[in-house]
Amino acid sequence: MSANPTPEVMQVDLTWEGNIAVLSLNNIARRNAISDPVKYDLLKHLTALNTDRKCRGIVVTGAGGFFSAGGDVKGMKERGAAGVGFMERRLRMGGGVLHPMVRAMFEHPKPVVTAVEGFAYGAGLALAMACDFTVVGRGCRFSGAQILRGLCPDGGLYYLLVARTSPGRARELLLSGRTFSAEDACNWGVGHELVDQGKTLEAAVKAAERLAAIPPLAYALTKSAMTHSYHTLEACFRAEQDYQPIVGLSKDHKESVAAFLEKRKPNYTGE
Amino acid sequence: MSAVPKNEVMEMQLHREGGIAILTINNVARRNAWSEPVKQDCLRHLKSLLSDKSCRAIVLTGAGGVFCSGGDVKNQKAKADQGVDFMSRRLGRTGGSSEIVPMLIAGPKPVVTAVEGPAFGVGLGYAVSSDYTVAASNARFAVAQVRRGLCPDGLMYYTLTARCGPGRARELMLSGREFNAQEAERFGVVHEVTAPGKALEAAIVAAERFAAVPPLAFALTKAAMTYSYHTLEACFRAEQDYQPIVGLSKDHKESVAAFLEKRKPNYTGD
Amino acid sequence: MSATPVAEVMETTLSWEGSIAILTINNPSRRNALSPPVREDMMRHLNELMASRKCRGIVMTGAGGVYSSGGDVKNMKGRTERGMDFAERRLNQSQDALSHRIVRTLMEGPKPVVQAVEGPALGAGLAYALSGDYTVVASNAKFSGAQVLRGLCPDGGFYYTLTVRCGPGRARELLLSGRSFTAQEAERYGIVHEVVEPGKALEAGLKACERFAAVPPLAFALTKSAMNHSYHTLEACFRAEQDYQPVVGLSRDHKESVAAFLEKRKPNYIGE
Repeated sequence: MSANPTPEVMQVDLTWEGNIAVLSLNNIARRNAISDPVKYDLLKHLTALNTDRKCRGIVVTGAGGFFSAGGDVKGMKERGAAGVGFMERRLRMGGGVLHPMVRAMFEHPKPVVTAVEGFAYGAGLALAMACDFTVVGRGCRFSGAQILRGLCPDGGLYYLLVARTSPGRARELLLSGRTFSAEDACNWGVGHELVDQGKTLEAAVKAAERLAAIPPLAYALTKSAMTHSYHTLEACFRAEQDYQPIVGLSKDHKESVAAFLEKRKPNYTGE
Repeated sequence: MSAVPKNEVMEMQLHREGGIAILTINNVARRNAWSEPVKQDCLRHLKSLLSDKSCRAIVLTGAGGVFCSGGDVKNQKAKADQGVDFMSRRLGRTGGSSEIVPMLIAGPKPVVTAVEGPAFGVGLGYAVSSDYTVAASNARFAVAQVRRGLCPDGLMYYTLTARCGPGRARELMLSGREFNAQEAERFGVVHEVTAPGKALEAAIVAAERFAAVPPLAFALTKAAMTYSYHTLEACFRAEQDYQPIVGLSKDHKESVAAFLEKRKPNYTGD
Repeated sequence: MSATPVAEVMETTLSWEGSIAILTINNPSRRNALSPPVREDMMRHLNELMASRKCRGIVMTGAGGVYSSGGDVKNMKGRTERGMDFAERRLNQSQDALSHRIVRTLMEGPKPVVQAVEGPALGAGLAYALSGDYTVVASNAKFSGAQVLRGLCPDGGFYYTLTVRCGPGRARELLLSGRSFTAQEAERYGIVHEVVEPGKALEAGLKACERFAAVPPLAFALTKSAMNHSYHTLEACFRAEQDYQPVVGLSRDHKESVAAFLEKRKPNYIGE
């Protein structure tokens, strides 16, 4: 559990659609459960794509027609049987990879889109929302299921579900663990776009390309402000005062203004 | 930039309907862009209205079927060409929206915005800097700054997020995409959608509803709605601080008396 | 104000449906106004229920087809005529303090709380109707954050409880105008979770409460605590997960849940 389990690496596949990186959770036998190897792989890929200039956007999806069943119930049983104690569990939560992986995905400087079909349960639901845009396939089912296993929500779910819906709705869903539909998910704001089952990846790549057309520096700084600076008016003032002069002096802003006035397509470099 | 060019004053007009002050962005030739003169006019009007007892509510709208097309791209080009450096840009960011928006969303008077046609960029920021937003069904919205390689301004991280929640705000701010009046209503960005040409009329009705509330209770409730909803404890604290003040006000006594005597109350703001 | 008038005790009554407690505001002649005896009874019952092992959930409702008309206007008149000064009012807020304790218990206590609303829920009555985990209302329910129309500011935890349901943008409009709104509007704004036919709110409330009561109690209590304090930032959320997950991960109910899931049988939880 503690050492990086090397034989199982590559439970997340990386492929490319132009300059959009597609990351697929690929452990169909265990319904793409968020196992330790999946977390390590995802974190490794996300970190590498951070500095990969070819990459202009990222799509995260699941192989086999479903997104993820969430935590691995068999793994839970093994942990119980192995008698893992309180301090070890506590350290595992903090020092483990779940939180760094969710943080890397949610705060990634490039556009991140998820393509979700089949089901997204528990930590899988958290992952489906740890991004900028979520495409949902019709028939997809969701639940914050951890509480039904006698656990509390994890994977950043308290924050992510509240951020997408509202504290009142999230309270009801996380306290009951009940299943909800793709339509409900899109009405409440869990998903942004509803498409037919089987079409989510295509729609997600298109969404990522749309976001990739925005000046990259402005994108990254706006994203940072949306994570940290909306709670109070003062935090918002501060973010504007800090970021606007930086982007106001950027090459891409000049290019954007010039292209707008000359009615031509802009060409951004991220500077 | 600092002095108001004389010929351009009155790019924002003020007129009154009873106790309701109507502020109209009026520079149709530039699609009501949020220019320096508009900003200066707006500041000047707001400073006097907020301390004017006869003003019971403010409606903000745009002339010519356009709310506001956002920051002035020509002015952005001039700034970029002048080569203003980082520190002077950073220091220069006072006044303007950072002064106006708090007057609208945390000031003592009811504020209603009436949107016809486009409200883009900082224009969208002003459209949501209010207690109530009415949009005509042909209204169009976008956080356009990010498409100009800028970050959103006009305090939208806060004001837009307060309307539609961080999940939706993130999507709208990061894509800069256009959205229509129906979507805006569904997301909670606007409160009411009307037929084209009817937004101002509906906004005046809404402003009158707010104006009928005792002014002191209104002002303190508005302050609490800006600063005290984040935690239950902050909320309790605001109640404990404000309730004794309004509980001792003349208007509260008048309200209770009018309620029991089944007559219309007459409030003075005391 | 301080001593409970003996004749009026039991203005909030308690009954049971299995392990679900039903608290009923019961003073229909005054439209279930939140008078001091109602609040004192309510607090006493809530304290007992939150500590009772027998109680697996609480449904709150109002008697006589009315949830609550809120603060008592006659009582407000009495207060204004007695002529308390500012400092005295600020210090002597025993009723407000009691109201805060009630709301805090409903929002943060360990048991599931479902509100079942028939007819009007006004002012502080509406604030109470939103204090809990789930609100069911009859289609004839009527709402307003009416305090501002009486020249007062909202009370009963309202800035927070309304805002967490419908967001600051809508809450601002409703609390600043004090206008009435319907059950259907309330559902659309996210203020209530479910709308049912008139007369059916309590039944639906019990059903919802049973759903929550079927969840392992320890996981429920800790998740509910986190839902009050840990959603504002991603870091606060991670911190709550790190603190709570090992506690429940070692609980008997978690082991039982995993075993029942793998053996495809109904779990039996004891709250440990």
